[in-house]
Amino acid sequence: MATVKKSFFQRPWDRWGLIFLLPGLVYFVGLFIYPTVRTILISFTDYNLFTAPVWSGLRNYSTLFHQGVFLGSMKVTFVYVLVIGVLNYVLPFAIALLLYASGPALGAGRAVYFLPVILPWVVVSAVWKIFYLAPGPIGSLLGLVGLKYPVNVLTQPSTAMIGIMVIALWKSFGFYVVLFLTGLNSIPPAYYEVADLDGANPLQRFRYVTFPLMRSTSLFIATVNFIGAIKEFDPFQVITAGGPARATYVMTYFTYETAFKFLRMGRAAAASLIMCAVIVIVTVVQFRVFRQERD
Amino acid sequence: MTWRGLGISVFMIAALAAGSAWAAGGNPIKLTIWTHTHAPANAYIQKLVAQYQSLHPNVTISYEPAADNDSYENKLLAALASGAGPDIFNTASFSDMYTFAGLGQLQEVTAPILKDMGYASSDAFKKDYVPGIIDKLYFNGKLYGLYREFNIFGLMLNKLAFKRAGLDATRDYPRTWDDMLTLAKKLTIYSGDKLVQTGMYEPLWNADWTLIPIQPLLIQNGGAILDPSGTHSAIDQAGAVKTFTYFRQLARAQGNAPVKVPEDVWARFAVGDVAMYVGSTWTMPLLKDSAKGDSRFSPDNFVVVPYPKQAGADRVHAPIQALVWCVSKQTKTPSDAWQFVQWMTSGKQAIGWYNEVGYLLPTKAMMDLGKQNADVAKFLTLSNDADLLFANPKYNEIGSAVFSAWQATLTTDKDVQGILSSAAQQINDALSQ
Repeated sequence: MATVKKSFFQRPWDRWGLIFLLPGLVYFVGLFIYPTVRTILISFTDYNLFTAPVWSGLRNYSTLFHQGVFLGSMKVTFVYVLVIGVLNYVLPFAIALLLYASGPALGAGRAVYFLPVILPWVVVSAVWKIFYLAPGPIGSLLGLVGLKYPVNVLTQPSTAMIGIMVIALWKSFGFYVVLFLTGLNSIPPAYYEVADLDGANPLQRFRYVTFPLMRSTSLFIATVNFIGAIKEFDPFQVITAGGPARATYVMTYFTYETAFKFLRMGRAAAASLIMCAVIVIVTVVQFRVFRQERD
Repeated sequence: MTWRGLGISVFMIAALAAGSAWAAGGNPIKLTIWTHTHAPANAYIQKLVAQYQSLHPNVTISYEPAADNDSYENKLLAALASGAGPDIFNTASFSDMYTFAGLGQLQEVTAPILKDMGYASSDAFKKDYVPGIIDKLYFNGKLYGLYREFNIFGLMLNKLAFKRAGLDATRDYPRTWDDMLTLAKKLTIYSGDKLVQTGMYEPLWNADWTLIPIQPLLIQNGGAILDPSGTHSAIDQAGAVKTFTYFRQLARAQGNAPVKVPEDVWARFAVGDVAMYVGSTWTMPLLKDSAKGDSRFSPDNFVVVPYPKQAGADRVHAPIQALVWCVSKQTKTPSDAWQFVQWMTSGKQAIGWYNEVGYLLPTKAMMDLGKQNADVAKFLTLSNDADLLFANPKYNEIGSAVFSAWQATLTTDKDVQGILSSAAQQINDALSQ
């Protein structure tokens, strides 16, 4: 029996579909697939931008894992991601609950807490650098709580990261508040009515209704928050340049400096791929944990 | 007019324009210049460009100062790497010249170019510069740059601040590093908990501004960033440990005064809230700007003295921070580019760099100016005892390690030897690959 060869384009207008897809494909391949593949290849070479890459095998990776500065940057990044990850979950959730409970009364104020989200990092950094000047507004406040001399927290290794965290939280929490509010608004009121009939107090309503039904939102926020925090670069570059004494020397800044200051593209590519691997692993773990809880 | 007529007219106008350029002195030449941004320098370069274009009508120069200095180096790097660099640029640090030359990105001043610049020989060219100093612009035996600025640093004292502490800056200035320690303490004044005046400011800005205060003492202590072979770090050796320890003591001697950020230091020094700082010839215009009309500022309030000298040291070793003009390998007109750079930095133009920008240049013309101008003479006197800041093709990596060590020394209580051993590891890593 003769087989009828099926054409890839079953209908005459299918070809047009491919043509319409082309711009998107070119964009995706050109700006995502090609740079990723090239980064992977460069990570196995010594490359300084000006001369041809020289194959070096796994040396860049091996150097990184023996390099105190890189390991230090991983540690700094870990602390930053952990603190920001927790605070950027708890604070926006708490504020969203308050706003949700207060009804439309506070709705008009949403622009206030969302404003920092849309401000460019460069502007935010410039303003906060002035706030932190000593003597300056924040230094004076610290003086009020008993600090003897006005101190610019950004110039002290023990406090610089805290200073950046405060700015990062201020800048991003509005975004997460909006996401949490969206999640809260999507919970059917019937659940709360049933809980009320069962005599649940506010804590129980949160424990047995709100929190479980916010899992999808929580997973999304935890993932986006984690990826955003580990990829954070602007404040570390604009405000502290990784200092003082490498107190804010995160992996992204290490990668930037290694590539564009030290001209070690291979090592920088390897560092960025390690960062990418960390993101993938943690994200998979996050998904698993949330899925187990849901099951 | 028909289309044909219009076409013929356009062609004739273009031909006439080209002909006039040819008649005025050769083929049309286009040059692009990039620099970091410094308002007085930008304005002076614009002026020089206009003058040069009127002297050479066939030359068109497009000048582009950087929008901000932080991104200048990256922009330059990306442009050179992608083949879209300028013909002429100034380096972001002295070492960049070595780095770019090592990467084959610079156009050397060849013998024919030197002839085009009006010099019969390399020796004749060198005679126009302060002896020895031009040699630093050679890399692997080839000349790759001309000085854009040559900042000899001295210790600047504010008389008002000295007076507030009951001292006279012209008489009581520090001769030794121990003097400086004592004076810094005396000159730091608190009113209750409020810091009124800082004795000696220690900058926390970048690698160059780490070396500017420490290099003289480092050398006087017999220390160095690298060993004599240049292949290994020496920053964890006794001389460097002694130097970093001294500067920690200096910071602590000021009653643990917090180390300030750069934004306000010029303003505070200008009005006498900082007593001692390092400065060069360009500092005074900057102080004037920073004072923003405050009546406490006056150029007469400042005294320039040499850096202190350690007992037993051969000399002071005042630091010189220099930036260099380079011509990109990508230029299509290397000789014209170098001729413009040479014109811009010699003769009357060189004097203009001092008069209009405050920069010194190590040229004979500037030496002659020193015979008439007391301020220039003062700094040039310091140059007899000065050394260029540490420079190396791997400066960015080495400087990053040194700067981090400097920050850790001033702002933490970690063991100085440990801090410098860690810096040495980073430097050795940079040098080994």
